[in-house]
Amino acid sequence: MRITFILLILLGLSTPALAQDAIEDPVFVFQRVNVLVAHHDNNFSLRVWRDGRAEMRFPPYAAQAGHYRWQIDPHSQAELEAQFSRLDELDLGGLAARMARQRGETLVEISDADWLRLEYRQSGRDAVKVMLESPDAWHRALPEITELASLAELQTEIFDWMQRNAR
Amino acid sequence: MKTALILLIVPITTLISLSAPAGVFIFAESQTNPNLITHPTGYTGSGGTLEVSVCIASDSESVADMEIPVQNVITVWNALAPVLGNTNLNDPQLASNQIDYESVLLHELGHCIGLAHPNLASESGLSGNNARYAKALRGPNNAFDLNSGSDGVIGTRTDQRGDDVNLGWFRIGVNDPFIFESVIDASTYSTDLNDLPGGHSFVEIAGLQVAQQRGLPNDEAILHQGTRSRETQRELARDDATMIRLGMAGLDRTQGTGDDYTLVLQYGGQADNCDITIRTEGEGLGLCQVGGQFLNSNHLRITSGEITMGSAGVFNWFFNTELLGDAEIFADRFESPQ
Repeated sequence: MRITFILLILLGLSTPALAQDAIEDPVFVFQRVNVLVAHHDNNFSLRVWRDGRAEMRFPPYAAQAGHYRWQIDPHSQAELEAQFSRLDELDLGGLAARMARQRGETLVEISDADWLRLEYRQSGRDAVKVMLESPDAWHRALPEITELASLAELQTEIFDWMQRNAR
Repeated sequence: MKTALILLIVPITTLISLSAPAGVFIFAESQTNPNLITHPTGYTGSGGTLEVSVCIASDSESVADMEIPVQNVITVWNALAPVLGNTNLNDPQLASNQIDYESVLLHELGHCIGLAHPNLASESGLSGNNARYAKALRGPNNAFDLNSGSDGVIGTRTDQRGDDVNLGWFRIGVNDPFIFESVIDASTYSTDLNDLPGGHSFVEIAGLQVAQQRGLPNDEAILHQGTRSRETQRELARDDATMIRLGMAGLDRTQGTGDDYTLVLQYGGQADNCDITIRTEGEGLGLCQVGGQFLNSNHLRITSGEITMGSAGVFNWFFNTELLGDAEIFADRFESPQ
């Protein structure tokens, strides 16, 4: 028996809170892994904590390569909040099954698709974690699945935000 | 808030035939048919010249920079003239923070004409060193068995892979991915581990560390996933050419018969109606998307191919500016007998 992994979705469940987690876990996490690159420093990442601390890494081969740390302003934090909160509106629980079903009906392959990881933690709410092969590629292959288009759009918006703030 | 996690894993297909032989062609893994051979666009089972057009998309970024690399990769795949030592780890043409556009494109075009990664690669869900093991399907234990064996080098003939089901074609009785034979068909290549030489426990793949362990020049299959800054791989390794030649033996898998074809990629300039379209845009480094259609239960052909390379506004690409001529291919690659 064999399983091909094309999508991993991690969904958080509510459990008793720990104060330390609230301090240390970023509210927003974005990571795009360039799977084609063999060395470890192969991803673009963003982490933002509740107190406004922000950290970004662009890999050495990126046009905006570097490690950025700063305190983001309330307006920027609100922008990210508006973007990440859209994860709540998506039916992520059923996405894996829909992708598997569509792939069973369509002979399509995507090689070397990047991996995307998103995490969103709201106060008093469940954490949402998503990890999947790049939705920008898969939504072109499986256009019937609207969640992929939404994730692709969200990914691009967050990446644009990162590029604007990499200064 | 403490968070507990549920992991949902998508089984695309969960059944395979463990008795079938295997092959590292694109679709073989997802179709869980190790015996599947995938051919380029347009192949119907009739022999002759198989022309496949390759274009730069009309809405692509960096069109002027792309034209020479695109023409060069077409020339290289058409020549099917592999070298031993195709990998330059520290090419002085490139700065230390650059990635070679032409090398990545050569890899992606290989996917779009039917080839898969010889290594497990990212589609396995693995990363780092584990992704460098030879391509296989999970066996009955539903897990990859990863052990580099007595030599401690991943991807070699000593790997211990438990019940993993091999997908890699190898020279019968030899198991050497760094050779280039005169006859490449089902009479000389197999995926059945019973055809391995005595003492070999798994298929050896054309990985860089494997070549180094063998004392060979720096060499790696173009289709092996994993590029590095300042690295160039602009010529085929023998394993790449072998796999295309295996497909060219046609549906009967016998070289020299009427259904054999010769693959000819044709550059179509900037247009959107080609068999394979290349576009530079967006924040992904590079990928190939293909559609497919079955010719019979063990043969499939590509029906569409789209390559997307990352935007030059996101990545520090190095665009080669030296157009390769056919004569240079011949001079470079046939001076030494293969």
